[in-house]
Amino acid sequence: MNKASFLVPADERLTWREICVQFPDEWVVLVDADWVDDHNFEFGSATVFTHRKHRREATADLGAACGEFQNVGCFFTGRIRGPMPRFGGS
Amino acid sequence: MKVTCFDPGSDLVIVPSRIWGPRGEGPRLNVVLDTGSSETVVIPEILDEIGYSARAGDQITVMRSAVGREQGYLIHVERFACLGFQFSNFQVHAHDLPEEWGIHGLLGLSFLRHFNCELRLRDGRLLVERAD
Repeated sequence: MNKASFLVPADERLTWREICVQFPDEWVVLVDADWVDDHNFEFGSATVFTHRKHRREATADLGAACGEFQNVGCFFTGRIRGPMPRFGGS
Repeated sequence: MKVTCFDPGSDLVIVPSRIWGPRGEGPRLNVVLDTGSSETVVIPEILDEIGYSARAGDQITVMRSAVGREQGYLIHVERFACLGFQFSNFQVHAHDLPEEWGIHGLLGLSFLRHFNCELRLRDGRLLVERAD
């Protein structure tokens, strides 16, 4: 599968909820996100630059995303677990 | 006083952060608030992507864990921002974290100790004010 298959139409803006439904348990690189402020995660909508199964692949897309767009972020859409299982429950 | 919101239903307190590098402003990344970590940790692949490298690091480090010894490095980044505050020339610990954790780093005491923090776990709110 080539890189283009991970690209989403550039004009499609999605909310975080929509992104999580459309790309479950993936790493997404978001661009042009309209963040509510400079330190909270909340945003209205963003464009998905790429979506990847593995963090390393998404990270490799960040250079291009930051070079071409503003308000870039990289996040995992699945449930975040850990990171210290010695303190965790089940 | 800055207020940062997080998901109170999550296993961890996850907040967004930003790192600036030689190539300018970096992306927003999720880090976990970790008062059990003395250092603020960022995975090396992120630092590589925004223009840093281990060669620019201050020193090589070794972390001992249940699975053995793992190498990382300390490096000063141009700027690091989180919780509504930012520091220039901020030292982070470049160290890999398992992908399945779903994060890019840990927000440790090297950052947090500059503030008084009120963690409202049930509300999903972290109230932070400068202490110095």
